[in-house]
Amino acid sequence: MTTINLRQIKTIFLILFTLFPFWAFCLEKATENENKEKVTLSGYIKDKATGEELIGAIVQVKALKIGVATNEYGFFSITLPEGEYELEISFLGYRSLKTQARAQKGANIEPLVIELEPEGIQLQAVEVTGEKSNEGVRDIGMSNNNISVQTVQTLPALFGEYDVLRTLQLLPGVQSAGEGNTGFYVRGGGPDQNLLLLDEAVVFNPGHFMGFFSVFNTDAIKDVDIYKGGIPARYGGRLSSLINIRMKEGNNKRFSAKGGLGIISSRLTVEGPIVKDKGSFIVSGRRTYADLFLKLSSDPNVRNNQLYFYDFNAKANYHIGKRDRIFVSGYFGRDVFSFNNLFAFDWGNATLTARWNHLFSDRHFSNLTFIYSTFDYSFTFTQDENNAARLNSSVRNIGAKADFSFYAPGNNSKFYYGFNLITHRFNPGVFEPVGEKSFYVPQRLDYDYGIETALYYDHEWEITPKIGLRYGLRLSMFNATGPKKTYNYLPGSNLPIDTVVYGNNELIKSYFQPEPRLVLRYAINDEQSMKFSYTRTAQFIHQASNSTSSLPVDLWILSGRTIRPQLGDQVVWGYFRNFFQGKLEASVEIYYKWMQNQIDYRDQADLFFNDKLERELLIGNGWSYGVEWLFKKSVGKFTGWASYTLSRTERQIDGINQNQVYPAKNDRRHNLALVASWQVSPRVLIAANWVYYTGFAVTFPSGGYRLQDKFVPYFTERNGYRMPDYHRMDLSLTLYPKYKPNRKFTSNWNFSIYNLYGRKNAWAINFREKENAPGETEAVMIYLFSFVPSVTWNFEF
Amino acid sequence: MPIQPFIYKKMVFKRILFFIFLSTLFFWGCEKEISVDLKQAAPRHVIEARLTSGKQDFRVFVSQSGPYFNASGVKYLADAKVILYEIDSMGNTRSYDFVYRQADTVAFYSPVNEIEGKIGYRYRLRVEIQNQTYEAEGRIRRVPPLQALIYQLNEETTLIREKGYYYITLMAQEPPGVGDYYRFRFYKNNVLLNKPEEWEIAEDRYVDGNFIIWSPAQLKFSLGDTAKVEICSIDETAYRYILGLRTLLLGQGNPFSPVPTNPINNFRNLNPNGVLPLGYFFVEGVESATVVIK
Repeated sequence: MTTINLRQIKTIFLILFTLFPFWAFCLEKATENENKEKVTLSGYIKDKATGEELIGAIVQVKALKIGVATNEYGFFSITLPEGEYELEISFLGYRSLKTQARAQKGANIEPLVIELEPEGIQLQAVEVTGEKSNEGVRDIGMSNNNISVQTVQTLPALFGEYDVLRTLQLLPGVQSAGEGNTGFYVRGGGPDQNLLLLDEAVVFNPGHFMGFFSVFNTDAIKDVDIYKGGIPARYGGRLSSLINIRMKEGNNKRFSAKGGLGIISSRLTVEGPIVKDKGSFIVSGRRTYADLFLKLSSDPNVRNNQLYFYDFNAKANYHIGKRDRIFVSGYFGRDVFSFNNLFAFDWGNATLTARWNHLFSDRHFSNLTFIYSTFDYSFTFTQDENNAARLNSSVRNIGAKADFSFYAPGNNSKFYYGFNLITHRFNPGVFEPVGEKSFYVPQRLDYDYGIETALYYDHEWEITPKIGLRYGLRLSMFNATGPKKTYNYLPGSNLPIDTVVYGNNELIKSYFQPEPRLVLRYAINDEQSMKFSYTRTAQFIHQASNSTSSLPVDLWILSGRTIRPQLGDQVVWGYFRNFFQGKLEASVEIYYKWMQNQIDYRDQADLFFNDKLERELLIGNGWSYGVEWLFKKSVGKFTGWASYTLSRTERQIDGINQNQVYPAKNDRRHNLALVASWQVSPRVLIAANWVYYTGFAVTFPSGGYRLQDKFVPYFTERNGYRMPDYHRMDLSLTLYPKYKPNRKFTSNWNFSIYNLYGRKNAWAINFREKENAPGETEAVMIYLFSFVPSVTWNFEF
Repeated sequence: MPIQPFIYKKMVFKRILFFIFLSTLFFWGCEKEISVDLKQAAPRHVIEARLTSGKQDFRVFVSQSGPYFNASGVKYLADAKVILYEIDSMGNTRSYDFVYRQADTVAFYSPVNEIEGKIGYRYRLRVEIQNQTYEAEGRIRRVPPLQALIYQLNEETTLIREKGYYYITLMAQEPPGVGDYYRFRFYKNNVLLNKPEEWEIAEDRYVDGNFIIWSPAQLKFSLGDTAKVEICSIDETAYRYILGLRTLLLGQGNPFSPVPTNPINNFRNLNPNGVLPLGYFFVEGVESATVVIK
């Protein structure tokens, strides 16, 4: 970590930032001069039925053996010598299309719009056809996977709730936080080290109902990318992974609606054109309804309880001319628990994203984004008017991003550069009495303020057909600012000796962190490649949680005077191999990840409403290494994947486990997932998955002692034991209606069974004295879900 | 001073979260006794004593830890040398000697001369055993008197209270100045209610200097019962110790509980490389009130 003078940093930033557009301009001019005889064709690839842009569609000019892929806005740019060409466009699940295009110098060529027809005509029939690209082998990228929403919606679901995050847990290197939990660990990193972006906005807490369901409504989502390593320089702020979730744009051809009724919740999505082919909107909502049944009870103690969550997604986009497009999207979700006017607890995320896509030229694409993101919880206790009180806490990000991509004319180079700014405002807690009779004294902890900025560039370069390189640098800076009161402590102790008060916007501490990124690909031939990557990541926010699973009340804290940024360094080597013309993909990746400035807590830490939180923290290092295998079949009636991870994750933090190395709680030696989907006929689809993993590391007693009439467990080592191994099989059957060409309303039934063979997987193991025989001790296992059937009815019109 | 919710802070939060989990478990969770092969750690000394203000039957329990699944096989140690030092505000020290006594199922050390704890005095307990010398010290802190202890018949069943039972309300003036910690002990018909969920501790951070009216929801009484409440002043270390012990005893293995650890106590080993004992030496000022429900 290099800490340098703030003025110097500002100067560097200013110079670099000033130079970026200049540099891009020079690039463009220079390449124009070099390529006088060449013409650039650019455009968008879209779904013919809905007008949704297709991400990662391949545009090829076979005559010249040139191919490019669309970016996350469906945009492509390809530079060709003057002439008439046949473009061949392909995308998994869509009919390939050949179209003629003329590249002519001097013609005022507007961006092309090419529409592909989806293969599956019926609702959610998922037999996947289309030409499979050689993406996994050819990409200058590794440790990343894409999950389609279609896949998520055919796999078995707990209580019928399709869940993107639960599906991600079936990939290699991604571990579930526990039975039924949507929280996850990536390559040994903590749940707070996953950057979860929904249309570029950070989602702080991705779990509903204490993490049993994710906040992402699959009907509103277009697709999901996960990066476990090799993260491009345009993303930063978290140590371990990037989960990039994009919302649908909305159907710009016709109005349509879809939805579903499940045993836990119902969903409804409406989408349609604002102006046909120019703009569209989508609104989508989901709500659980267990509480509605509570209202039927004659017992007021039951009737007056509330227990529900809901999500609301909305998005609109509009083309202003051929070269500009604006998007506005948002998410709002909330969990509400209220018990008979005694206490209430609610929490939720809200995000807002506004974007402006602009094409400076056929090769120069830009996106400006404004982002607002917040998470808050509130807790009210009104059991007794004498001690009624309320506590609330929140985190808020407001930020902006300017992202540019430049497609060099040789079709072998892409430059990405830009600038990110995030302002953080974390409210650790405001506590106030409720009502006049309450004996509580209002309390308020100082807010944490911080400004996170980053400049980045990435250069993706096909040096030769065999060697590809993506290298980049992210220059991150974090400034913790006032107003804030901080404490100085007696050296070597936790005793505060004086306070330091910072004024508005006064700099408390500044960190400057260069983050180099590199991916190198060597293509052995068309079907095999080897890749290597190095990724440095920095994280300036930390989550204070001393439990295994994250909770809504877990506190987010910013780096500052005593809490240094977390740093991650990861190296990965991988071998990629395709079989049967890419119909079967296989890969193996070996990684080693080193994590510095990892936070843990003193024994009996007091993390709640504590203005001297730094006293409770212990800082150390962690590391994780392992091998991941993935075999995947994406095309045909039978699709699926098998993933296996062999890994080890450890920590060393002074003050824990007698300063000795100990296994992290998410250290699981073996993780295996088998996922299969079989389109038996056009009307029947069967899907199943089976998971197996080593039990997580846990602290059990190694003795006991008596204190008066209590027998107390005695602990000697951190995470010295293992929970029993976990395994489970899920099965689902989806029935589609008979195909009729003019039918507008279609529906399907999905039947799921979670934990088919009723395995009693341990969720918790408690050591206690027997209730009916004090003086005798026992170990008791709690298990949650053994054999959970569910049914969901989905419709679309 | 008391009370719910935020004096119990984390505890109340945990309770609420726990309640939500209970509702989860109610729908989906089941329990099953299992056999777990536990390692056996080397025995550690355990010292437990509670000194209060006023005259008392002061006892020091000295034992050692054993295997977890042999709770009845606790071994009390008879070869300890126990001394208590009483130190007044001028630094004058008086020492008390102890003798080993055995009762039916327990054994302990009791002072040769009766001890009367005094507010403001410091007390240092020294235990020498098997070449180890342990010391712990505490001061008896001020404790506000209970100004009233009343009861009321509950006429409607709610989520936390049952119809037809009596619930007590206690009233006290919390002295100004943040930094006071309290433990409450409740007795029903002179029997201490000592389940971990009946332990109540409090700190004055959120109620400093206010008049407190508190009705503990989990304590129900019937007609004819005698209810007694003790309010005890403790220090922050004791507060955290009780909180830690309570968390451990209420269940330590679920994904939402913190990593279980041995609660940090107030003992030190005079040998800097020596191992610390388990247990605690509580030093408490005590005020109490009693009411008969009729």
